Amino acid sequence: MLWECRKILSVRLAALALLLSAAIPVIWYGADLFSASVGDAVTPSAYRALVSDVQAGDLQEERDALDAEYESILYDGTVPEKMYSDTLGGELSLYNRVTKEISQVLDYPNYLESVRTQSEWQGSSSLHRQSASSQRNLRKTAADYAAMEGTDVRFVGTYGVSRFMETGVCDIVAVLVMVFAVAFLILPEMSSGRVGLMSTTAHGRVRAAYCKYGAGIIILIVFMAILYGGRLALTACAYGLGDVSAPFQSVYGAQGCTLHLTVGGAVTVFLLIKIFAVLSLYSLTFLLACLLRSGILFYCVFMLVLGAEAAAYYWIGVNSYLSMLKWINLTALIHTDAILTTYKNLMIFGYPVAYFEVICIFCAIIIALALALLGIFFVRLRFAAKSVMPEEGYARTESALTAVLGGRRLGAYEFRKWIFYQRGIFIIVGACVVAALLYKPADLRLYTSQEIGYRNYVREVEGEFSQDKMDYLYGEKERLDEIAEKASSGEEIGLATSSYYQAELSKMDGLIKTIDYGEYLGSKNGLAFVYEKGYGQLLWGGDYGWRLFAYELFSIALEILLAVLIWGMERQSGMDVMIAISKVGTRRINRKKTLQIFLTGIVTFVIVYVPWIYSVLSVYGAPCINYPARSMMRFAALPGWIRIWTLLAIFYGLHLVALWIVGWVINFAFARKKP
Amino acid sequence: MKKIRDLRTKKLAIALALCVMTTSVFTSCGTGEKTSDNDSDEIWFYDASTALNFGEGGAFYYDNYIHFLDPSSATDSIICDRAECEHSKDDCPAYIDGMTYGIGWYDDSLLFLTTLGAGQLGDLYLYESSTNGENRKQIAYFSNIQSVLGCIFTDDYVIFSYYNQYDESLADSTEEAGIILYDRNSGDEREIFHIDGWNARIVQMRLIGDGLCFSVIYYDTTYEDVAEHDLDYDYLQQFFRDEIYLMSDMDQDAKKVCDDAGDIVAACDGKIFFVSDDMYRYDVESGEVERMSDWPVTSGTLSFLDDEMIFSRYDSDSGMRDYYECSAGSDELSEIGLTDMTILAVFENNTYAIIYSDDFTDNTYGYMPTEDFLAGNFDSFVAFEE
Repeated sequence: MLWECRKILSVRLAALALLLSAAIPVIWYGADLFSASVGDAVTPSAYRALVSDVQAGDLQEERDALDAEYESILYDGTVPEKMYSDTLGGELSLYNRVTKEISQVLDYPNYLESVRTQSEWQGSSSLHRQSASSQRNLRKTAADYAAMEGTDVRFVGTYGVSRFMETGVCDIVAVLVMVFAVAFLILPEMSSGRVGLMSTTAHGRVRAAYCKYGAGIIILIVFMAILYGGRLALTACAYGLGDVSAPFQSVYGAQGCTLHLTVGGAVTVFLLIKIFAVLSLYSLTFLLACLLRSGILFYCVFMLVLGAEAAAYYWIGVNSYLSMLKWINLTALIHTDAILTTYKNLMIFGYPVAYFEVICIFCAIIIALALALLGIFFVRLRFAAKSVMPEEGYARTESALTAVLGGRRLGAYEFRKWIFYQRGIFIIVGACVVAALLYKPADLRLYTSQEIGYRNYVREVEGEFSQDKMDYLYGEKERLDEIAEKASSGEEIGLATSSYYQAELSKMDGLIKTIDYGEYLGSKNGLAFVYEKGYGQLLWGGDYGWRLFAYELFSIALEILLAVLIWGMERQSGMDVMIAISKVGTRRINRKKTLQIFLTGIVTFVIVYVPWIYSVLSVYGAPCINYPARSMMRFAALPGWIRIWTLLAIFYGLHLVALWIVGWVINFAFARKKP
Repeated sequence: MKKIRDLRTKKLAIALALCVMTTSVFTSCGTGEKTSDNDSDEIWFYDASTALNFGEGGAFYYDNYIHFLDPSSATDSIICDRAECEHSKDDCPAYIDGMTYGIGWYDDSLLFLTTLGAGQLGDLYLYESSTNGENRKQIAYFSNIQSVLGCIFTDDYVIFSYYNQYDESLADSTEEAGIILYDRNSGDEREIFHIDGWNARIVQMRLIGDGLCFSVIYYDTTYEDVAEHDLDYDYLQQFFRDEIYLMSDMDQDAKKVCDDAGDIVAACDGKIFFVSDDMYRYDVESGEVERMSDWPVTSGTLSFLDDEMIFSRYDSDSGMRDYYECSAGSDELSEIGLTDMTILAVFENNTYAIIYSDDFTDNTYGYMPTEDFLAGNFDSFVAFEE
């Protein structure tokens, strides 16, 4: 096991990456803590000073005084006699935070009482009397909180504990390190075929599996100890942890916790759950890697599983019928603070089980599964070098593909290499599935009366600019002015007229905008009225700016993946040295590979951008596409010969070129140093 | 090779079975068994004028949270059953982030019509949830429904009336109204009635036998015409329509049975009572309309009794309401009594009522046993305690 640890840590780059992965988040966290003086955040020194002042006095009086002070700063801008922070904004944040902490302490007995009365009250309602599970839940809640009676909740200044328990960058880094630990432990030996040579007997291979698994656990525990230990030390230095012997319910936001823990105990339990959660994730990932046997497939499936879990966690509502998928979820495991501080019972077959317990059982099941199945899956890794597909099917597919694509030509062979041997087809199909899942047709949403009016008027006069169209718009303006005059004249009008006037006058803003637009068009020659919102969505994102940006990211990621298959196949295994007999031959191969990059760029473009362009054009149409692009005011500076279609072609042409460049640049990532 | 394939098939089968089991565990986890059944043939009726949903088992209302008026405990409480919940918006299962109209309670689940999750004006959904508001699931989607006026839930159907005032861009008026029927057994939905006209509204809906009767008002002209003649009431009056329609069962087309009618005040046993200048009775079988001039009543009350209808009259001398009952098949009214409360709905066991405060801001909702109400014993009124 230790030898497996050494195998990873002896790779200097891996050891350095591990060290940096622990150090950078901790430094980041520390910087965030100690640079809190920026803006209105609660600064460590101010918080400690105020807590110390409050602890010296009567809590009720202190809260009233802080409330009064807070209101006088907020409403009168009064500068308090004693400033704890540098700004009034900082002072407000500080008072707000400390007042909340004090209030929780003072109100805790009332909170317990309210839970008791609520459970009685709700239990008596005929709506819930009929539901046995509801009754059980109410009884359990009442009993859980009854056990908390007499808890000596105190104000001890626990902002540091809250900060320490927040979910953040450290947790994401822990997950990433976990994935790379699995990848380092299994994938290199698997993809190179060394796994078949490593242990010749099944028993030996099982031992190797558990050693690798154990090594990963050791590395992760050490890593997390450094990561969270550093984080805890920094928090303690900054805000302090308060009195660690006080009940955990003293921490703001933790009054829902029904575990009998001290602050110190809660921090320990928090760390244990965090480690337990990461180890269960690790176990699952390890199993996945053994099952999939392929590096690319592993990363793709892992991303898919984690993406699906994250989507379920963030998108499923707390009250949805699918909420179980939200709570019993890999992403939920990372939110350890919520597991510990929130009171929640999950109904399992109609029986309430504490969320904390469910999560612990969930983690234990994953780890137990991993321990049970690891030996079985890992033993089969020796066959990993062989095709995952049945040999017969593989051979038939290969020969069919060869027949179709022309097996003798170098270009066709390069194509076959990435699409079939490297299983690029799966990535393309996967990308199509992801694109289809994420695809959301553009819709014609207009939010303001100005937008609606503008759309209606521009569409009415759409086409080449003419004075007649302007006269019509001016005529409309006169008509609406008359209505505005009548509406404000004070003469008696009925409800229908009033609503008619209101509807008509709501068009005024849009009309004025259209007239401004028309006057702009009139100042230049050969322009046209164009309702440009559709083109706006295509060219600068419009309301969907984020969506265009997401498509760009997605397309680049896909292109990188495909380019890695094209350039990396021989370079990873060292085969490039074998096939690089002559410079001419290498250049020829590279030319063919570059052609494949052009092809993947087009495939990526078709998968990502074509549905988007189609979607927008099908909703907004392509009005006046042959008119100069400067018909749109945003492009007033463009020369007249650039038509709207030219602009679209350049814009998306550049996107395609960018994809090709990205794909081509990947070549250099695999560049081998000359001996 | 065959062995390997068999093994793979077996593994796949096990994996699939595990998936199915997991899914079934997840989906069954939220639903607890019930200790007793809610009444069968339960009808829940949403009345837009009071924004209350009445049923034999209680009444629901919505003010961002769903509340339940419970006759068995005389309480007005949020439906959330989590004792530790602070009812702070999204976390609370009773909180609905969308306008909610009809609410019905069947066994251990609630059905509600709501705009929760709506992407744009006109989106309306029918949700099903546990009685505490958790485990929500969209079970039907209705497009272009801008406002709901009335709603009836039965064991088999969800029926609601709507009206629309705007087109999809909210720019122009498209005055229309209609009734949508959602079949709870098949999951199908269809529009069973539609009318175009300015200010079109389905004012009243009443179940009658296996069918439905409803009253419709509208101006049979365009929006622009109404605007042009806004103050010319005589002109507009010629376009005003006030009609009653009848569907003998839910599969039949709606048939207009009365022109120039008025509000439906009661319907039972093949008879529809409506009020315009006087009280009238429409006989479904014969199609005859009879003027009930000798009846002293001017209004009716929502009644779900099998064979009795409830009528009332405002007594201006006392400022109270005088209630009457009329058995099905009888022409005779018998007086129940005079009271200062307004009866909202009468079910077999429970009668819901409201006592208005002087300024209508602090009204008191309550209930009494129907037996007592029919006996004129209004003292048994119990207010719902918050």
